[in-house]
Amino acid sequence: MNSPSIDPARSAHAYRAALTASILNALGTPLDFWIGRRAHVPLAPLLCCAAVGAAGVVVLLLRRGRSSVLLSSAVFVANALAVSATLALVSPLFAASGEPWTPFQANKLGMLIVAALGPELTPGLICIAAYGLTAIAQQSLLAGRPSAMNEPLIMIIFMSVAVVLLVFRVRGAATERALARARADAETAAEINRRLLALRDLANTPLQNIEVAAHLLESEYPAAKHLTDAMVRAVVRMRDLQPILRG
Amino acid sequence: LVETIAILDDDADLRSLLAELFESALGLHSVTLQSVAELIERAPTVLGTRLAILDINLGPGVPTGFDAYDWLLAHAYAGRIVFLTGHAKDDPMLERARALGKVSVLLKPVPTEKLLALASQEAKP
Repeated sequence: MNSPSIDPARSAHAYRAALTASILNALGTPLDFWIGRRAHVPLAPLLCCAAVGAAGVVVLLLRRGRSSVLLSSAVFVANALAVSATLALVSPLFAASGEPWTPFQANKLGMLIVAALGPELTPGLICIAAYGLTAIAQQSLLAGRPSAMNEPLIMIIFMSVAVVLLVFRVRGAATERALARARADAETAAEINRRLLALRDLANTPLQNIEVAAHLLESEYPAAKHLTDAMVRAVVRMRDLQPILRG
Repeated sequence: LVETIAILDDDADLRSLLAELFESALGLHSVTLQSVAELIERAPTVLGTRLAILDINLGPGVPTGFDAYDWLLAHAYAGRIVFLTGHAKDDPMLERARALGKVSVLLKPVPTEKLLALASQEAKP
């Protein structure tokens, strides 16, 4: 298995995933301030969360083309942890406000985003767990809400679906990368084979020349037979290399 | 002077060596040709030979031994046609050559005795 630093496709995918998640965080989290204006949601935690996203964008842009899978995954996880922590802070405010509120929608959306974007399996599982478990840990906020009758079962179902989607997507991506590598290997092998064939075509005519020239020399100078025999033997040895070159 | 062997190869040394070999060992004269264009130019002489030894690869971007083969058949060549080529046994070019009718394929380097036996069998009056 290739290491992260030498698998460009894997690194590029992790980079795109982390950048997208960071941008979504940086631009999307402040929207919660507008959504939660009647619940008197404070701006500070939302801005802190968005700042984590913005910092991720900056780090990734500075490392553009050089970001490892590890760095991109770390940025991705940092975003998810910041968002899930912020949601854990603001959810009680929404619950206490008495305003219409469907519980933990953002957590569910977060899990699906992770399933769709997650750069690797382990970071993805960490993020899904962060979104899901923080919501389950706050089940007490849902007491008496008709919209939360089936919680935490719904949340567990969301977590399970997100995990299954993530696993299938990550495995699919790995298979695609393996296929791309296999195709590249096959193309390289075919190119080497073409070059070897061309090399043999070029090398065999001079051998034929030596073979015929040795025969002519022997006819003209019978005394030099020991020399021409050596030339012919050299040609035979070169001819014997053919099966080795064929591989 | 009657040429009974046509030798088509882009390697000048090989052309002259083969011609000298056949002449010195068997007393057979050859017409040596560098390209398909030259082969066509010298059509009357070539079509009068009994044995045509054709290289396949005659250089980049120029007609090949296959073109020469097609031309010879199209002009009712009555002699034996042999491809003498440096291509490997598993080269796709050789698969194509073997698929052609009325033709033999020899892989360079061919032992001189084999070349002489071929010329002796096919080209001697």
